Amino acid sequence: MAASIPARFGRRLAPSVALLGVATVGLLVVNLPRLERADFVFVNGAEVTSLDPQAALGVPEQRIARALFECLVERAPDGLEILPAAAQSHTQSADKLEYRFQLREQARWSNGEPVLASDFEASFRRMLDPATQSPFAAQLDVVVGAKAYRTGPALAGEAADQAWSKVEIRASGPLELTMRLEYPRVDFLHLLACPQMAPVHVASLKRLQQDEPSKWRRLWNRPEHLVTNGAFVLVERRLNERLRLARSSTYWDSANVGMASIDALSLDSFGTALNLYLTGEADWLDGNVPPLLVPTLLERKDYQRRPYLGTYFLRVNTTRPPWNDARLRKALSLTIDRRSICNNLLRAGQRPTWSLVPWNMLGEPMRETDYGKDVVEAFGLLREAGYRGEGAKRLPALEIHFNSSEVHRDIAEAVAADWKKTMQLDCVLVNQEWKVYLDSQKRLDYDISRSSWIADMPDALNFLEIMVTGSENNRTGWSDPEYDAKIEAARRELDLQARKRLLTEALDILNAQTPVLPVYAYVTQDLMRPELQGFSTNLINDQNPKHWRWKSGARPKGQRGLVGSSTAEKATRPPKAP
Amino acid sequence: MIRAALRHLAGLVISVVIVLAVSFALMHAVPGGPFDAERGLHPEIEANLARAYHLDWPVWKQFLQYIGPFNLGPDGWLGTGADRFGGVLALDFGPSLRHRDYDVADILAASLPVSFQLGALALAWSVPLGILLGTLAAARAGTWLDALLRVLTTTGIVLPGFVIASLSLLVFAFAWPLFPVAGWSSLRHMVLPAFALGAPCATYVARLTRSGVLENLQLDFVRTAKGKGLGRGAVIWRHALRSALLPVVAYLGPASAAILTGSLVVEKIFFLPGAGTHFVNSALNRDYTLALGVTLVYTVLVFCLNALADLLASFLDPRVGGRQES
Amino acid sequence: MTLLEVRNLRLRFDTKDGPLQVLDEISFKLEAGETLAMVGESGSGKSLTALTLMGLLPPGAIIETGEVLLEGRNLLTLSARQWRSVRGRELAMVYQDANSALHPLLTVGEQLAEAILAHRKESPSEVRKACASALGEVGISAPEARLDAYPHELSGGMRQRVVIAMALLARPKVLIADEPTTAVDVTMQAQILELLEHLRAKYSMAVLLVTHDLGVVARAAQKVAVVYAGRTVELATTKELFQTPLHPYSVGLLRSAPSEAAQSMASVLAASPSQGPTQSPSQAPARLFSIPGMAPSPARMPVGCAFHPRCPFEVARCSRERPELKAWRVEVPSNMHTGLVTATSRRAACFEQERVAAAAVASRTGWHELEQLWLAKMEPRT
Repeated sequence: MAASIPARFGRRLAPSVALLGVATVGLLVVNLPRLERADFVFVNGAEVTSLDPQAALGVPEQRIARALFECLVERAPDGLEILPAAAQSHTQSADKLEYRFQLREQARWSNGEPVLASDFEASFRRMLDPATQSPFAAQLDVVVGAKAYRTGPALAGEAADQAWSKVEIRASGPLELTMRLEYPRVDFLHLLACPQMAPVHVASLKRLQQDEPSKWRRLWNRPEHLVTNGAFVLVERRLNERLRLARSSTYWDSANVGMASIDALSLDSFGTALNLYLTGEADWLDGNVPPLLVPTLLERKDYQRRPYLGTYFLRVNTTRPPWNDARLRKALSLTIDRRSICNNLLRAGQRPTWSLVPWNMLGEPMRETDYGKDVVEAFGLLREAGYRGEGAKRLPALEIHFNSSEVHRDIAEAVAADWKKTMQLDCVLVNQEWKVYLDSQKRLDYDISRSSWIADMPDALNFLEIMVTGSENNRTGWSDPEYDAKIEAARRELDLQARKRLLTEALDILNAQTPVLPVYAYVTQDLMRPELQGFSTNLINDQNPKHWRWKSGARPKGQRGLVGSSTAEKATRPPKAP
Repeated sequence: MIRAALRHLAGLVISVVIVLAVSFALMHAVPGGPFDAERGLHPEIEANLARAYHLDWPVWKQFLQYIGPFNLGPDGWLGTGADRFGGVLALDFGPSLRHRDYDVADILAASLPVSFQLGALALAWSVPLGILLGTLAAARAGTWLDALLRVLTTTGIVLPGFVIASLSLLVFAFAWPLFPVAGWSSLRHMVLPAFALGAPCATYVARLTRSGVLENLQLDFVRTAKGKGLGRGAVIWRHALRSALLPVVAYLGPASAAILTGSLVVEKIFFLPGAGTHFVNSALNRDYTLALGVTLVYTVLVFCLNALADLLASFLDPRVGGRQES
Repeated sequence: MTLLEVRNLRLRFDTKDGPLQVLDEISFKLEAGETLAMVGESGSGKSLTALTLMGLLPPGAIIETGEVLLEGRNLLTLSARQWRSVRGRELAMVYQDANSALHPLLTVGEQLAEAILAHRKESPSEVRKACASALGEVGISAPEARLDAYPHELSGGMRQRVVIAMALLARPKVLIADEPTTAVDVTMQAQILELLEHLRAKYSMAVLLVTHDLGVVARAAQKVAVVYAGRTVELATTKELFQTPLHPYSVGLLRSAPSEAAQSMASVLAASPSQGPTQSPSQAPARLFSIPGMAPSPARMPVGCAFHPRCPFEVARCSRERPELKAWRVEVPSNMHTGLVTATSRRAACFEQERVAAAAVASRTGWHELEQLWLAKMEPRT
């Protein structure tokens, strides 16, 4: 029968109503409190996994941890010496085993409570507690009792306190923290300067744990719950968008903190980051510039590059014959035309390296580079191994694994071309998704696997340590007891010269054995407003936002548009080796 | 109407179960885990993490744990392990393995509105404009206007989203700085993303409308309308377009699904904290709980959007559903 | 003045394969208050003629010559804007398939209202009242309620009535009914025809009835235009045509009408005092006759008279020359009276009219001979 009147009107109106509804949703959802532009905005890379400093694995996390929390000591922004931070001074015992840190009387948490030695003790205890799952817990193994505590059973109450009493991290006074080592380590203070060694406010954490037994893990890093002792406090956190930090009024050195507010953008797309920078909406971005863009950026004076303690290298699976033969691995290494990769592919000042330890950190002489000579040397090694000359065996085809990325593909192609040209070695490029790639590397299911290592401490040991037998970062199947012994000795060596000698000897072993094929040493690549001061220029690019400030005291206005554009004189400063 | 809705609902439940089970199996079948990183973890710490998230369990057990508030830990059926998370049946999607400070629900709550807004804006301009252009093209079929629109729509369909996004950035953010290049803090920030996201939809709607109107212009009822003495405008807009809209409305379901799931590129280029990013990144990060949560929500959304479009289309067509007794 | 006159209308389509002459001299006159039936096989150009009158030609149709004079005004020279005021208001059309002629997504009331609002402004309530009364007039019960119905909610007969009501709303001078009864069943057919007749009389409209069904012609029309292959081949009053068709095609058409149509024809003839039925319906051949051969396609039109390949009266000149449609003074023997029938107002396009007429008259007693004639014609070809 006849349609009811409402249905008829409904039909007439439905499309318009639907459209209107859709438009309303579109227009209404943005009702965020508008944030004024921060004093300083930087592109921080992928969203931080956590604000918990004890879980701060990557560079973005560490930058934020630096801003929010303060360690006992810190590194100088323009160098590598250790400066006082949360501890105004420290003393070492004569045997270099005991450290005493004097905390600052005026230091306050962001909730106003004083920063006490017991806070540090509780925080280190939390870090070592297996329940915390801190990936850094093992770094404190040098402390007496730490390893036993972190690998022991999960305990509670009295028993836990009992167990903790065996760990030599102790608040020996309200403002005095004492730590005792199993053996002396020359880099212990550097370790303590790492952001993961910053304290968290365990008391408030425990309170939250009681109030919100199931949600506290997610809640305690929210602005309303997070208690910090650093130069900045967390004001707002928008997932995958930004972290808004503001100068902490309770920070002991608040008067010397340059920026009133900082935005860390959770953005890992270089193109978008560049757009933001070019239009003045970001003041600093760093990271891997796509090589295609490098020549363009080189014309800008605000594109700056410095040596960076990172090495790009290829792992060789030494468990697969014939690559268990060091001579062949060495030949692989010698026939990579690194200069061509750096000059033709990367072009941002990356430096060819034949050593896992980049930038001649151990003061070894610069290697003379003559690709022709290297190839001849490689031929010699091949002949020795029976893969060249009369009745030569044929080298089996190699699979080169890399994770999906243009640069990695380009480099793999270049390397494969070099090997084909010089050794008639056939290579298959295997492009793998990141986690698959990591997995096959971990399971030694590869021939050659693209890798890199960025140091978290300015120390050659940091690089050499990864190749120790059984290290979770070794992933080559390579093992050499002599090498392990040298590294272990270097760890305990207090005399810097002797230590350097041990490390150099270890490096020599590594170079001779060549389980990894170093390719190039990293440079930092920053696009940064020239008016920024206090920017760290040290080798590990350890930024401390506390020191950042604008030259004129305030952010320069009128940044929109192509600042310091191509008309500026070409930046001709090549990165210099330290 | 109600029966149709119930049928849709049953279909939804079945799809969700299948999608969840398949995604769960696939997620765990691919190599690599959530805590793998370039810098390897100490084995004991890795074991700690795995234990905390039950990753050391067999997959079927993890799935049960994910689905419901069953506590399958060694501490019995209702022990302390239950506080990890309650399971999907209890509407708890668990904690994210990558974003350690967030529950999956938090992440969805933060990112879905952005995607909704973006998608709604994209639809709000693209569908009306597509209809307008499609009808114009049909009304002027064979003229230069039609040819121009055809070129435009073909380009819109052929060009990938990131090209449209980049071009619009070049023109409207750099050459002619009307809009910000990226970010999410005002409506102005949404203009270019909504444009880039909606462009393919607009072109598709335009084509759909054009062919529909052209087809209808051949039909008898259009002749009747002309025969009444109605002007060309009334004939096209009131008669020919009206029935050409039905397929367009039906297309809105798939279109909004495509816009929701296809927002990744646009979100990335314009730096919008939407759910499209999580849709892809959670899988790449092996963030099992987040990936499953996003998949679940998207399944429900896509399903509902399609059902809604279907229901709307059948509501708009009086011939469907309320069949007369005569 | 003649209300509507179509003179020598020629129309072609230009296609990829060359021009298609679909209308080739259509002519007829329609006076106020009368019903003219345009009869012909499907594809003969009847509907196209109707669309030309409405100015609704499909794209690609080219009018070569001819005039369509509505009260002396040539419609073919109208601009698009002028057409709009003619369509619906002066000429309105009832469409063949009421099902597809109505918009499926608009209610009956909305579609009716448009017919009014296209021509004059009126308040919604007045429009609604007018629409309801129009529905009532075409015999739809509870018209108010039907206004809110969608076409699919109505029966086929009702839909056809709606289409008629729609055509009537603007009170046109000429109503063009294009096969108004083909889509409805037999009983409905009669009702629709009665309705049309009733409305014609009530509003003294002229009706152009396009049909292929002689039964319909017999029932509803006063005059007939027989169309073959895009050409008017005979113009006559209904009675005249049925009595003494002058064109062989008309003869064939009459002969091929099904018995039901024959019945109507008989009643037409019976109504005439001078002519009695000589052939009762029961005598009608049980076997349905159809004109042998096929209507020519516009792409391959025969030279000369288009009908000659199928014509039993064909003479030599038929395949060379085309007979004009003109008034012939024919004297035809009547079978009842020995006197002559004079048909002055009639026109036909056939050289052999007299023979045809004679044969047709003769066939009333013995159709058989004529049929033989036809068979003889076709045999050598098949």
